[in-house]
Amino acid sequence: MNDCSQSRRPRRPFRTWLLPASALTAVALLTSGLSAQRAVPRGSVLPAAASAVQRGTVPLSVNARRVQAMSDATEQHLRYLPSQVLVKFKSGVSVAGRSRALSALRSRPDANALRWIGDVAVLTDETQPDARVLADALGAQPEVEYAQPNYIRRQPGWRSGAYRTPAAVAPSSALTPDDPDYSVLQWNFSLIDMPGAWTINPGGSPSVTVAVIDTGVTTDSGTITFPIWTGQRFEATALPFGPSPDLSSSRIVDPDAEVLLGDGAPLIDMVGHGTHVASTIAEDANNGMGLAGMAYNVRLMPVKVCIGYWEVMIGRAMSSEPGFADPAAGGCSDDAIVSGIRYAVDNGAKVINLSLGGPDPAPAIRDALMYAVQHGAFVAVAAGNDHDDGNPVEYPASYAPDIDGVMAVGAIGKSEARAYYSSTGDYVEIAAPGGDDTQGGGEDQGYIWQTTLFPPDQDPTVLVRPRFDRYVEVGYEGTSMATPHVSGLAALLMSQGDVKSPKAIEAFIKATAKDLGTSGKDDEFGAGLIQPRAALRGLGIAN
Amino acid sequence: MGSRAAVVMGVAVVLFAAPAAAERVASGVTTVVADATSSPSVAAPAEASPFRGAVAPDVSFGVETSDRHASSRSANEDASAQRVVRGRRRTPPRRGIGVHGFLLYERTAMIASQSFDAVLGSSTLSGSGGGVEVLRLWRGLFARVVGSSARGEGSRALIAGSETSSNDIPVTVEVSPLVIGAGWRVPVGPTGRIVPYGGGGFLRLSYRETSKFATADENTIAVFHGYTVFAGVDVGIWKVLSAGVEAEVRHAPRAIGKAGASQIFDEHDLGGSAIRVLVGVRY
Repeated sequence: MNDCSQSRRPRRPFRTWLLPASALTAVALLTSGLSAQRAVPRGSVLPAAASAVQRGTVPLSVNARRVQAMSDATEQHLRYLPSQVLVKFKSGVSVAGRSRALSALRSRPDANALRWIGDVAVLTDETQPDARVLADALGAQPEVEYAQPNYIRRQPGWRSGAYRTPAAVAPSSALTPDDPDYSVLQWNFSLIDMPGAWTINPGGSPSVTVAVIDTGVTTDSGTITFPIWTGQRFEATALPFGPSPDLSSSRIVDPDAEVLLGDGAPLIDMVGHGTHVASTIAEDANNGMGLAGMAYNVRLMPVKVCIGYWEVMIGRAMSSEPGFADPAAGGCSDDAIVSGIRYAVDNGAKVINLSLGGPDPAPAIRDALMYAVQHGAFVAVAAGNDHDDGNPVEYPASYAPDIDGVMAVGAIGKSEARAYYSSTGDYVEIAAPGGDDTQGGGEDQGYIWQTTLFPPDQDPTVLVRPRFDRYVEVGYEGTSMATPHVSGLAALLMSQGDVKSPKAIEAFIKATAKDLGTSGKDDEFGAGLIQPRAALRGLGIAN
Repeated sequence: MGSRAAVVMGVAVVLFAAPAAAERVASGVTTVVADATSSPSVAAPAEASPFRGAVAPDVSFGVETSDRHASSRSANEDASAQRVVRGRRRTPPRRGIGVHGFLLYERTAMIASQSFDAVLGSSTLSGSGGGVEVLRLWRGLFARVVGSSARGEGSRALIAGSETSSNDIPVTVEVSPLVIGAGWRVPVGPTGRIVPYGGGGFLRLSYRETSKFATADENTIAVFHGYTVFAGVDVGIWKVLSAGVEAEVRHAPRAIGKAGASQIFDEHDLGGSAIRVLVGVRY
């Protein structure tokens, strides 16, 4: 199973020149009670952008049961949510047939009590915590097409530990982004000649919506108040949150939270992974601030299906469960992923980014991917970061070769060599920059840098009161970071001409890729490194 | 390429030489040209020929030749010759090497049809041009230089299997063939106004494909070589004015197919089949 950043790699020490200023600023901000909309001088973290709708203290709505299940799974070192399975019955099976199949379980659950996500049912059987037993029992029934535990996927990306505060300059109209740190940090875009691509298609079209199925992207600002375990007792804590100042709220549409927060509550990224991935796709560009995204004019649909430590802590508090959760707690359950994919498709997303994965088969996600492609949505999936951990087959990435319009994305570093962590296999279809700090160039050139949450504000090993309203440029590496490059390219292609078919998008991304490694398709790079300019140029007769 | 073109030329000459021989036999008058100097008795068919008053220029030359040798012949032969001479007054004067200049409009169906269709939305191109022919180099033999230029506009494409999508990047394609060739013209009919012809030649094909956003090395501006065969009919309309139609098959093998849509479709020949309308003058 992929591990998240906190547990996989030790954090690097902060840049020496940055540490004093950042720490001082952080302390100053934390102690002074400055509002989130306060102008922050250069050299400090950026406050969240002022959103159109300012919320005050908002009530927290928590699916505590689901979050608790995630917490339990982490503590028990399970790769699935206890007692939960996803079941697909064969076509035409009646309610009576379903009941008969369910009668194979000791608890004999009621078929009418199933929770449906499309044609997949989610069954919770509290009498049997081992979901594998449930899945095996149901899968043996003639009425059942498949049954699988509700596995937990991870986001295959690691934070570097280094971060920079976004600089600001006066905007210009140049096609190469004027974002001040673009030329310093975004080697990944130069490597794939994004300036050349932007001369053809500068940032894509708002008519294209890209769904980022991840930890979410904060869409609003305000505070939420919840009880939190401080080490001795639960204390009601006001928790500030706000959107990234470098992601225009006008381009964020139809956010959805499949986990944690219910209807009416704001979407909040409490991890930073989703915001980082979304920023690679569509961070504001040419605004004289921070960094740039590939398709900076498209619309983003954040779909929160993954949670992290702080969501688990909130869930535990809501369940009055004392103590601290495992810092690695969290993940993305398969039922939430399936539901998130279908939500994105049903709400108009034409590109879906899945920077998540794990080693367990997920036929329910495979069906959701097919649903997406059949409804005109292209999907990019991370190939996984487990090359050095036995290089297991990754899911859902390994479904990609069988579904035209779904691509499994491997990662390369600055030298165009495969990133040391990037999983390999015949399911890897394409490669994109994911960062690799072992390929030289230091931190600046070793990671993928985007604007996301200020990491010290959420450090579970230090804090008991996090905040989610301050942003900096943070370096990550992983196939999680490579995947949004492909999503961004797909979004640019979808923005141009009458290119709409996911199948055609995949074929063209492959056809224009730069062959790396063994000649032709190989297990490390697939068809090769994406070439956005070549893909956007298309084909003439002779050139 | 050159040897293939030579073969094509040879085939074209053979194809059009055979009808020419048949024409000589059919006209009778032409027989005089061939035989009058060696065998006067053969002149009789010319005498009886209903075409003697409207013989083609080649024929009048032959009759004139037989007339110069008439002094030692019989009275009947003289009378016969006189009748021919009288006919010569209505015959156009002897013409040597002639010139035919023309303008043309053509439609060309490209051999690389899938590639052109994917990018331009059509596998045919319309063009115009002109040419010059030097006629009667030897009997029906003529030489020609013909140039034309066809232009098409479309947009660059994304091709995935059988699915082709436009990506809205304008592209302009110009195909400009220049043919240096030779052929054989065979006047037919009582007036010689209808002249079928055919031939072949060497092809120099200038190809230019440019698109928006392209850097200089991303455009294709190149010259390819190949060969061509053609056949047509030229009709005298009024005095020196003529018009005609012509079909031409051009081949420029291995010109494309290394990149772009032509690589996807494995199409390498930049030639095509053209149908032309020609209007010109000939002397």
